[in-house]
Amino acid sequence: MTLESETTILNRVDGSASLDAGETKVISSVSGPIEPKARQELPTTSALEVIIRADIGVSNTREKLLEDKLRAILSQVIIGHLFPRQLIQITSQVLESGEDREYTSKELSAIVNSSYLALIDANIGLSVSFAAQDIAITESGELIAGPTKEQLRSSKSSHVVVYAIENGEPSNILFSDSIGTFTEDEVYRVLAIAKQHTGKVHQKFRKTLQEKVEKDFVWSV
Amino acid sequence: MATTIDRRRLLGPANAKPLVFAPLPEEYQQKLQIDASKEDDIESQITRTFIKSGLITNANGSSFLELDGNIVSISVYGPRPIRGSFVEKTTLSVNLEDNTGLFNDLLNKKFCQYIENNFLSVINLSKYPKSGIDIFINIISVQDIDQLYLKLLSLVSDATTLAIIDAGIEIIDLVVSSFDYENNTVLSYIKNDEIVGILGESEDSIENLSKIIEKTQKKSIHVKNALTTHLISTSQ
Amino acid sequence: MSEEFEFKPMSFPPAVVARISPELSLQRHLAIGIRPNLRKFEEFRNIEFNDGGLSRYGSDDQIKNTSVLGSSVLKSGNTTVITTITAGIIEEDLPAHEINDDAAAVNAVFAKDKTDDSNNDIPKSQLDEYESIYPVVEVERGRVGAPTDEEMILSQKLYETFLHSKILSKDSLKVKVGLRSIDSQGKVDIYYKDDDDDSEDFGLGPKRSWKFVLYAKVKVFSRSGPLFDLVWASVLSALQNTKLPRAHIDENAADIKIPVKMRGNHGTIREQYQIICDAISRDPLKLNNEAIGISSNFGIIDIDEESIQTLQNEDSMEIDSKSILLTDIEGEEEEISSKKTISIVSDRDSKNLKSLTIIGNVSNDQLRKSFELTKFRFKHFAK
Repeated sequence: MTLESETTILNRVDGSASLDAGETKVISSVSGPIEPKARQELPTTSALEVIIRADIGVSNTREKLLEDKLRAILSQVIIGHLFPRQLIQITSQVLESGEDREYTSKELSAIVNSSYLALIDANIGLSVSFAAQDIAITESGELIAGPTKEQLRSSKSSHVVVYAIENGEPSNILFSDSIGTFTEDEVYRVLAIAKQHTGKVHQKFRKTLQEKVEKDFVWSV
Repeated sequence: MATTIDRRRLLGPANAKPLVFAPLPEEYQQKLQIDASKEDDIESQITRTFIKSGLITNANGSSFLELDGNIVSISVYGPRPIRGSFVEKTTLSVNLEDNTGLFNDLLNKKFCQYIENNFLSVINLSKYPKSGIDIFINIISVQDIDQLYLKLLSLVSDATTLAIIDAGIEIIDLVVSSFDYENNTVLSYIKNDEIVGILGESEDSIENLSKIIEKTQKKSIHVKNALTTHLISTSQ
Repeated sequence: MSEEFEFKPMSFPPAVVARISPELSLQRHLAIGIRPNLRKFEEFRNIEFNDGGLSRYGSDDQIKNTSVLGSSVLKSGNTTVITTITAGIIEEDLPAHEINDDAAAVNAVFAKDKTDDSNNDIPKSQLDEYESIYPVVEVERGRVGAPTDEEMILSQKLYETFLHSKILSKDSLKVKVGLRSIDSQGKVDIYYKDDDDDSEDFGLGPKRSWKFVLYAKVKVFSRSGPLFDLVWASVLSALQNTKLPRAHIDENAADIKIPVKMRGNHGTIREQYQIICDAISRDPLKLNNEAIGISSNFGIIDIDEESIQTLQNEDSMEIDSKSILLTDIEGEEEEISSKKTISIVSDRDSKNLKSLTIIGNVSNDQLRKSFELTKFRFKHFAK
């Protein structure tokens, strides 16, 4: 599975990151803390605006549901009370979905991962690191982490799992979304496999972030 | 339906055509035929009617009415503050939501206008300045949209009266409506003989007006009795 | 000069506290072992259904003049959900060689470069054989205007869950096109091909096919918590009493070929067919009943320190951990406070799951417990 990422690729936002996960490519950007609209403002915590744009055509309810899922994850990790009465805006543009319209697992996993990098790039306070992994279960019950478009098509269920990362190790679940036909046992297996993989994903992100810090650190020692 | 693509609703493929049904064979149509004497018998209609108020908990007032295959649900929101400049009197708005797919825009407008007219003259509007009252009519089922839509309108009007009372909004008197099948006319009364609304859609309804008034007035007294009995019994 | 000041604690009635400090209100309720809605921690709300009699095909012999094909009126707690199913007809895209005998000839002229694409290597999707419905959910809130985020999300989640649950096969939406004929005495006869009838096509009809598209209009009254479970149950119960009309081709639209001329090439375009639905005859919608299950949601509330102390003092509760699993979230306090949630859609025998969404740090034990409760609920549901 390829996973390439880069930060600070856009210069008019506070933070940005691109993610290339093989067939799926996503750019995410973060603006914030910025001034919210009056109706968004929250007195004790930051407001969160999540926008997801589809690779082809305009966004519709499909992207709305994805936004809802991303918001559920981000509202757990962003330390909102650092930015009361402020807005944090996250925009994800899918460049290549790498899956059929009926599926969203590959996109969601890439969006979550690129948002993580973009939030760090924007210096938004996070309570924990996090990483996402998409998994498909084949007809024979085999688990595939990071399935291809074809594997996803012939799978019986698809899953996205997001783990919180503490001290470089996955600690607890932040989010998990499964759809298709699967058993209870398979859920536990998916969660276990995802735990291993999100750890690996995070290791790759550490490298990306190390490069970012080196680049940002203008005074060389 | 809007010609532009609606991104906020899942409306399915754009090239799908609505179903076109062949006309019902005669034996079925007979079953649906309207019995004029049954439509005139207001007392038995009242006994067949099912009414319930206050079912919708997040509205200020609501009512649910069922009669002869007509099902309507009314919710009243308000008086609630409105945005914008100061108004001395409350503003009334009426919205009709059709769940049956039988209403066209014109009929929808007719219904809303009739209800709005009825209640504008009955609600104590100056008691609620800077406020708005929104009435939402939900048509859930219709007995006969072609011939008995004004009967439905009379039921909507009666149900709205109950919903407004349930919301605790001050009105001069109960608005009671009655429908005359023969002349396809609906009239709404307060204080037994004051007319607050009339809608007639038959050609000679004007000529028969005095006859219609006499007939519907009698009916409306029965309806009023039924509504008051209902209100007293539910308030206890 | 000394004046005595006395600090009086402010007090509010419970309903006000619930509004201004929902989390505190919930914590205090849970500390005494009860939910604000007076349900037990693991108690589901009862769900009542009926078909509401809104469909064209009523229970008796009467046919109503409406295009509603299935309906459901669901009540649970204060909430009422009304679903009506309607349909449209769409012509299926078939490969050209199946429609036209002369497709090869036409292709030779119009699409010279195009090679036969019937046998390429793209694996078939598991979902190819299934269809979804197109739901529009409306939650009454006394406002008009564009759909809210919640309505959009509910509609989309219904659409996706329904498709991936594989409840509705493509076959079951095929329009069985009959043929209407008028004999010399003027008697009208409509002939429908039955399922077990293996005879060939009528011979005169075109090799074209049509399918139904199903729409669900879902109207929610008195929202009092997360709605997906109720909306899911309502749509499925409406589909279970949905009947699809039989249809025939309007005989006025005969098989006419209209010659067209384009850049010097000749071809033919076929006449549009008008499909008329029979006023009476209909077939029940075939669903994959095994895949139809129930949806349940759970919220996990961590008990705060203060409440735990109250618990220990009173020493009357049997709460063994610092968090409580609540089933079937209801009311503002529970909804706002449930930062961790589990939402499960299972199949008929709750052997398999169809959808599972976990939000927040949910432990495997809590997950296990919620699966158990789903199964337990299912047993009761089946009765």
